[in-house]
Amino acid sequence: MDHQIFNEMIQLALLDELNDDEMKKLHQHLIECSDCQAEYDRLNKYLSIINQNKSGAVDDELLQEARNQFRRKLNYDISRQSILEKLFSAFRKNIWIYKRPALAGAFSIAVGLFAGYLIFSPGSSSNMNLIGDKNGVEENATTISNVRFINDSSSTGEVAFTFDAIKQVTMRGKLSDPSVQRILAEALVNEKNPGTRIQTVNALANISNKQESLPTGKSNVNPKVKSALLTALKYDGNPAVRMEALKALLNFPFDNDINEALLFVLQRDKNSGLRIAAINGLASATQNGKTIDPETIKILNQKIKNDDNEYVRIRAASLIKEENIQ
Amino acid sequence: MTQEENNLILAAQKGDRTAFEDLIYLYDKNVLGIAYSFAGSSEDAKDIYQEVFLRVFKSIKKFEFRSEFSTWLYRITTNVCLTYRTQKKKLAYTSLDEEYDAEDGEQRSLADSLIGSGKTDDQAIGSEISEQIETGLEKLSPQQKMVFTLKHFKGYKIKEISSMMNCTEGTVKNYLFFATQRMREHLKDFLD
Repeated sequence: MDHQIFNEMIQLALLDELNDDEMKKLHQHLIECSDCQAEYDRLNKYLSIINQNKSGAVDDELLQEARNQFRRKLNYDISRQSILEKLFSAFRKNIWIYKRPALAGAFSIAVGLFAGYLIFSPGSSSNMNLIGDKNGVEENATTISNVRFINDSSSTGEVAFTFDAIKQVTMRGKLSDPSVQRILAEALVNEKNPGTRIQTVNALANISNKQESLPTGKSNVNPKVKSALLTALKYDGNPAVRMEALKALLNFPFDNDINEALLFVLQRDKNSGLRIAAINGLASATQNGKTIDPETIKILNQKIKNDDNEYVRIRAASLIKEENIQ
Repeated sequence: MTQEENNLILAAQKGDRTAFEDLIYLYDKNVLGIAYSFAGSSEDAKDIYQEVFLRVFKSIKKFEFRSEFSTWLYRITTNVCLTYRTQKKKLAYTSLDEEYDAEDGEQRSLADSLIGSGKTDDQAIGSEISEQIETGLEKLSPQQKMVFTLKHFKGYKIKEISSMMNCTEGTVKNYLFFATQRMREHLKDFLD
């Protein structure tokens, strides 16, 4: 075996890619060959430099951003396909019909009438599953997508196909309505436009302001609202949305989820205004009787040492001091 | 493939969006990790992530269980990475001797300002090596860079990489040996 082959084996050995027999053979050669031993040392040094400078650790924040971006893009792509595109595609699939003008006419009229009926007929929603109270719902134009022909042999002059109908809906309802709350919560997480997200979070803040405790001790607000606010606080790209989400969450009974989200912001948010709001939120909770757990103390100690913002450093120190006095 | 994964795939194939999301969340951190290691920026990594899962969404109905779902997914991931062109415009190089007007009205060079930047020697050397590795990787072919990334940064075995890239183990080894040779030349100042 020549040195070139042993050089390749050295690399594979250092990458843990050799079997036992190959390893034995290589070790035997390294004992006998000083050149290959030197190459082994050089390659080992190279690999340790590469290992020390590994890139590619992905944190949860980046992962959440990627998921949100993907979800928005997917929603957008799904809704983008217009009725015209689909019908055009349907025509192309059935182009052979045009060879028979009479059937082509029948087919065109059937598709056109059907689409027109779906778009303009006020009663077209009769078999559609609308969200919420029908009295508060206004329906607008329908988008037809996913047209699939069940029977494209039009020799009889008839045609059968399935489709998905997406109808834009205007909804009016009370903020206390769980359906309204659920839609707003979805919008806060999935809406692409930051202005709309701010409007949404403000509406959700109104919900959290007016929440009432049920006899069971639970809130009357849909759990999805709180979950959406927690997601927005941690991962929304817009600081104004995060700030409004934080304010809204402070209207909820303070629990571990909110505590964890405030600590997340305190540790990771680059916006000092949000870190200040988060530490003030924690301080307010302790004033209302919440004890500071060891994890929180650990994070506060880190903040005292290394937060860029002086107020956060001072507030962290005073929180720990207050805890020690108690 | 677990039964749960199997069920999620079948449901996703029938158009169940929740099942689709649950399915991709089993692997998406790894996909994002590969994309980030390969592209070197979080923005590019997110773009690659999006393209990968849009392709998965569009073609999940065609998945016929002939391979592991993860193998199929990582094959799409490597394909997207290999054809991806970064949106990020490379910054033009600026001479360290180029002078600029400092706040106090004096003319200073960029080299002067870097001297006072406050980095320790170890930090400076560490970031210099990282930059050298990054520029070295840019000189490799996309395939060599992909193999280097999957092996050194993500720790996959050569056999797994060959499956992900749909090529033989011998081809993967060739890419790896060539990448090592080029990178060692590029990093020779730090290796001597």
